[in-house]
Amino acid sequence: MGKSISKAIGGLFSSKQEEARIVMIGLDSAGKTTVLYRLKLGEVVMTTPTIGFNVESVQYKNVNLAVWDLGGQEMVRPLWKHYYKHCKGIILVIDASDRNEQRHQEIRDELFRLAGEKDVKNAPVLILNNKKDVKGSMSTSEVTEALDLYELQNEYYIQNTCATMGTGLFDGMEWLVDSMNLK
Amino acid sequence: MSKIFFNKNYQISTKPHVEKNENGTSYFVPLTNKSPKQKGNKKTYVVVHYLNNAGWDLFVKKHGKHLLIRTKREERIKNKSDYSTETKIVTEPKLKKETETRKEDQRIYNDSNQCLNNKSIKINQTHKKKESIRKRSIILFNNGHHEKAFSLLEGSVTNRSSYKAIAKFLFNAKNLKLSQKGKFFSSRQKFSQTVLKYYLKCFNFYQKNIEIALVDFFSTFACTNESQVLDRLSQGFANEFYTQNEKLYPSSDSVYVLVMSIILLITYITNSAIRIQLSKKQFIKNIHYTEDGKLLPKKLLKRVYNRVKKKKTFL
Repeated sequence: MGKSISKAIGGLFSSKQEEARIVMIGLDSAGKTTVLYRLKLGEVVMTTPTIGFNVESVQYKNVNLAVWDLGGQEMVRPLWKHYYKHCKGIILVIDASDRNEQRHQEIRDELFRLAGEKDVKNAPVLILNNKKDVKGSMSTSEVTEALDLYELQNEYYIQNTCATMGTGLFDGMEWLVDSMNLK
Repeated sequence: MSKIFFNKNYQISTKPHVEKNENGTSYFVPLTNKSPKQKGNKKTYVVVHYLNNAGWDLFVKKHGKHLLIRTKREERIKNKSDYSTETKIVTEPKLKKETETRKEDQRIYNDSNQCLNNKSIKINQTHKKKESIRKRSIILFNNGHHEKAFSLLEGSVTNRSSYKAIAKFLFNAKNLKLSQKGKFFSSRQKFSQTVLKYYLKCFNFYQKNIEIALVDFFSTFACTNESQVLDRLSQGFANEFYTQNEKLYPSSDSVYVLVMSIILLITYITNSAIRIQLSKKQFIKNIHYTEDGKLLPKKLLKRVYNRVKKKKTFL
């Protein structure tokens, strides 16, 4: 009873707001955490004192985005199954300064596995080409080739960013929000 | 027989003169100083080896008297009475009168006693040295120079024993920064992963509730909650937890699945960004989606869920 009332009141005040769940993937040290806290707080937070996956709600325009950083070995993947059900978008963070082919293969596998899930088939993929400020980092066309993105069926967009400075992040978010299918 | 090394400048000029006695053998070693500053002074060194490799004494002949320089003793000879009888060998009985030899005996006896006292002081000093090294390596570690700190502590870091020592140091040292510890453990390098293995062995997880053990482990450092880092840490934790509680859980993989889902549940409880809570049904369903999670009995999962829900403070 109490819950339904609070929901109704919440609905009144945030009538224009929409909520969307977004899954964030990327290899370690690609800069996921930095991107997340940049989006949330506008500053870089390095360590947190509590256990738990990184989940942040990010307000962008009128959309409330809940960004999840979930991951793990193959055997625990089914644990996240029910998050993919309501997932509206994917953010993929790449370390542009890392030209290791094996690492590219890893992230490619992860992306295509996620995109192959039933519920995520129509979700747009925002690819953040992070650490672009480092000399000799990959260009967007190089990223497309390294990850075989032309085989990807989802809509995608590559954005060059530098998460520690905060450049390029919000351009990417704008594209993501615009291309999400929000009812 | 133990070897005795002299200063490089000295050289043995002639063959040592050997005398055998009841208590051992004494070598009279004449030496010449080769260093350019000093012109060849001859000094006779007397090395006395005691029977049964009990130890040796080193004496220098100066002004017709023997001065004790160095001693080495096996522990069982530390007894004073044993010691006094042994010092008798040093004297050259034919050359000196009895009264002189007695006086000399006492001198040597007193000297050697001092040496023994010095030993206990030395032990204290080495302890102090170790403490200062520990303090310095803690400071280095806190400033982010992890490898420097460990090489200061252990020298070359390659063997298993040094991994263990480093793990113990990380476990026991109190002034380490939690964030630096987390940085070290969340590294992808093999070195920090093997140290993590030994670090986990310092904990006692036997028959502990899994969520309490998990929080115990994670409260000893602060890490970025990147999913890969959490994954690596909880995999290591699951392996160790399973080896300590083999009878209670079906496999280490199932423990790993359980740990990941407990972390997920804790995320739900503690993170203010999440509005909807994870229900017990969904919690169990999630785990039973996975192949290894199916082996875990529902009763256990229900109990774990209830305990985690009740516990409001994590760290």
